[in-house]
Amino acid sequence: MSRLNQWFAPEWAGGWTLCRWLYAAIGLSFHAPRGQWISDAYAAHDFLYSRPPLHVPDWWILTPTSATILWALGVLGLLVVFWGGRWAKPALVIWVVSSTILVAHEGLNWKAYDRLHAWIGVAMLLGPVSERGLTGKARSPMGRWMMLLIFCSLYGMTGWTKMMESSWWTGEVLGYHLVDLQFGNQPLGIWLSGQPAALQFMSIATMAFEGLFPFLVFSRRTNPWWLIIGTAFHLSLVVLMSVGPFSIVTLCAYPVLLHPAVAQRWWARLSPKHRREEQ
Amino acid sequence: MIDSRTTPPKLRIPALFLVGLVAAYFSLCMVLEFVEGPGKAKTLVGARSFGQWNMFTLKAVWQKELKAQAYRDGEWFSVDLPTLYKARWESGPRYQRPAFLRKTSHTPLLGHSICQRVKPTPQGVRLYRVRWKRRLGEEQTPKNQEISTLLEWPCRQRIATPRGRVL
Repeated sequence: MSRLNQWFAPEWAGGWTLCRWLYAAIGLSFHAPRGQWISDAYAAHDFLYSRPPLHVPDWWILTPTSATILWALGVLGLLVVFWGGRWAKPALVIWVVSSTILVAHEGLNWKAYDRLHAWIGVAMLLGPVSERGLTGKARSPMGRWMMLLIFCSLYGMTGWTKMMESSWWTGEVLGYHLVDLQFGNQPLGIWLSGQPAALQFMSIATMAFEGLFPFLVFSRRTNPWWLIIGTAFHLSLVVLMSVGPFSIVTLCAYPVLLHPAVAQRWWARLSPKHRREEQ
Repeated sequence: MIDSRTTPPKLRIPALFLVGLVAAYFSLCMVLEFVEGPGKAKTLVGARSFGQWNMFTLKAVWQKELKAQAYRDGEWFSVDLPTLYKARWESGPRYQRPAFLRKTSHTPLLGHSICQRVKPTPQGVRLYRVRWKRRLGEEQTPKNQEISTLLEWPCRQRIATPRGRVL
């Protein structure tokens, strides 16, 4: 029982508030525009694919009306999550379920950011997102554990599989992706793709960041540094590639991934109340 | 004084069980990925897609594009796919996604759909893939293109969609 108590020792929960706001705002930024593609993609009966894992059209073919309702439920769910309070968790469930059905029904565009956003939602269900005033509260660490698990899997798998690909060590793979017409094709990325030394450095740095994340994120000493590197990594992706909202979806979980003791110390320095006391 | 609370005792085991279940799922996805190799998933492909995090892992030397032509009154003419299918994501239109182009089973439905959307209705549709080698350090314009036909579809032919509905 004492071991169990140790595992469930409350941690500072302020990071969840920022995570919830960012999660909802970022979700709205990519989900709201989907409304314009209802008849062309989400309820296009002449171009309908049943794809794993959910095979949604096998059990439900969406009409423009039902697809619009699902889309609107997602928007409403995110708005309530942003607002917070007692309805935040039911709204989170509505958002995850409705958007997953919509995207799975569309079949061809189930992106990494869709899956990651849904997983972060699952972690938030275990966190204290329905409470307000979290900067003055400590809560169960279960939600943060789930978030750590998701991100260790995300970075670990992508980093370690890159290490298995020999041309990642030379930078060649990254170069070809930087000039991809869909996922790359940004001016700075195109220029960098012609700089072999820079490509090799960036490739090895990427593998180091991703591959070491599952080891270094747990230590209080290395955790903040690794998340600062991660922030720089994801912001550079925004400039160099066209990966949509993937980077910002990832970053919305960082306030929770930050070690709670460090986050509490940073908050104490930044908070207006603390600054007033210092004056 | 900080307000401090944690998971109630009766919910602790279910919470640990849930975290353990997700950990087991991600571990399984990871092990299968290493055993089968990146981008070569064979086992539990659908079930793994929630926990599959392959991002730009493999070398992609070729730039590929899907194009279409339609046939009417003895003449082939180009079909402007972006006008017919307006939905566009940051990675391009649905039909240009690498996953779509890899699966030959996907193209008949697109062929049939083009037959429905082009007005007046053509007699047939041809889908072809254009590819060229990417060149590092410069903007990608098609050079030394290789063209291969993916599908020739007569518009009178019918097709079954999910749930057996015939279009």
